[in-house]
Amino acid sequence: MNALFSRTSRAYWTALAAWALSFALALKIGSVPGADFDLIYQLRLPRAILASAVGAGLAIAGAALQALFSNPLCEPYTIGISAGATLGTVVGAVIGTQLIFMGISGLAFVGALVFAVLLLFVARRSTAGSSSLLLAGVMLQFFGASLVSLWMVFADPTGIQGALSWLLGDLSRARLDGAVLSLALVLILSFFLWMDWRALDAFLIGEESALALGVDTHAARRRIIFFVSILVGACVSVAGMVGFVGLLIPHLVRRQVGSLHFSLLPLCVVWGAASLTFADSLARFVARPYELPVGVVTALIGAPFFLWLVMRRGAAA
Amino acid sequence: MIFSVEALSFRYRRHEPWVVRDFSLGLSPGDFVALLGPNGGGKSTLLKLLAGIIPGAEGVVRYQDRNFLALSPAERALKVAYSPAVFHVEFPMTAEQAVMMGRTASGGGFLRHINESDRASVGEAMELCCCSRLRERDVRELSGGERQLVQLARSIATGAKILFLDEGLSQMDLNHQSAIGKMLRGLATDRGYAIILVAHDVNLAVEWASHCLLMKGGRKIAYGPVEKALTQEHLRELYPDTSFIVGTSPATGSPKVFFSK
Repeated sequence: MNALFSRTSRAYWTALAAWALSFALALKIGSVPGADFDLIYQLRLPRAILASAVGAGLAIAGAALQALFSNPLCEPYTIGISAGATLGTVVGAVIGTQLIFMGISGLAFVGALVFAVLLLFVARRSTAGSSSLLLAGVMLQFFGASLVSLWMVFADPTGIQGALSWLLGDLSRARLDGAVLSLALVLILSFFLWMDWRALDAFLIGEESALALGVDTHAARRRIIFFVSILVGACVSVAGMVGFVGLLIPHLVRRQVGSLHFSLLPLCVVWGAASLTFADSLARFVARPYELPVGVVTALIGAPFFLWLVMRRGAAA
Repeated sequence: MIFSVEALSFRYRRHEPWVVRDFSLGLSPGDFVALLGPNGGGKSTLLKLLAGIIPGAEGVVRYQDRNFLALSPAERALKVAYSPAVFHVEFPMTAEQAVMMGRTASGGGFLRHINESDRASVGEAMELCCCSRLRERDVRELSGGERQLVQLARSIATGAKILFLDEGLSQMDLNHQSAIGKMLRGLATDRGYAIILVAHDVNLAVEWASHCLLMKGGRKIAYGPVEKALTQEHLRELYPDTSFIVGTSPATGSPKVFFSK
């Protein structure tokens, strides 16, 4: 009985309740008033499921990246892995195939993986520490964004509007079957990532210490980067560049249950799902009858948080 | 002999000077070695090589009769605990959680979380290292000396009987230095641990150490029981710009080094 009310299980109950609430809210509100069955079933439900999947995937990917690089400012968006996935998707649009597998773009995965491996290379070669990693991430983002802009200049102008809102992070194209598939995929990948909780814990105190504690750091790093890349590829190919969920959620959950990944990762999944579902409701609601891209909402909340983190780190160092 | 190195040589890149050169040493249970030498003399690199943290060394490292560096990281971690000179964490973590990380290698599969034997090892290690009272504190808020206590507890919690401690006592207050020095000595003499402790405070280290290892330019200058290794000639070789005399402590009779005019 005690276990039901311990600090950690309270955290699980709270997270699940938050997710249920935001999911209900997402079905209830929208950019147009009224709610008939078709509207909820065909538009809002798939969208809420997709928001849950993308939020969960980005949050757990952020938590894993922060541990892997032992850097609290990491997440798929800030270090450019999302940009890699975007570039991959755009390359797919140019060559006319996405190599779709299980509902995600294979090219988005390849793009994410290539950028992630580049980052690993920079992180290992540079002696300047964690800030050089972020700078490298920003450069990768510029590089990816320039190529994407190049594509937009030459692309068919009728498709630009859709492409632009996808780039900003957009869940409006959700369909029920695809959304359910995405959610299933994210949950499976999250489980694989969670299997490495012991290694991720050890990475928190640095790679050398992790190795000294008995973690096969090379193998663990390969696995983590691989699963993170698929997750990011999956999220970006369906929702575009949604930033800062992967940054914010892990930090908020850590305040509640600490940094150890046995509990942190599952809670990030649930809170990530809850928060992006809520953010998407906001995106549909605040400017009604128009809809904002959800990435704009997360960036408006997330970017100030990022600055606050940077300042707090500066104060600590 | 439980752990030995033969003809160990290492440099970071080809055509660069050797960081560790032709180094040999044998450790037996009960040896408590103070590793002394000037900055940049290869002490930290040596410990990392011995623990298998840096790959690419020439030479042989043996645990009992097995090639130590060919073992998996988890097998190595159960035999040798290495603790680096700095302990830096960017994330919230209690001292107890930090010590619990010492149980990483003994943890088993991903479905097995923390069990009673983990808790017992962690509790005992924290008790030995005078840091039980810090259990719930966030390691980011601890002082340098307190962090060293926690880090040492982590190494002991692994259960490994060989400890390589890089600057293990350097930031502790006198009280903790004395308590921890005695405790390490006790681990060596009573429980058969083999310990190498990198130190810059010669007098502090040799108060409890049984052996002295003097190192400079990646080479072994001298190794032996403290009385034999810690001589005026060896110290002159180690630190040529400063002159010392070697005496004994009036209280404990252990060798002491004094600056001379």
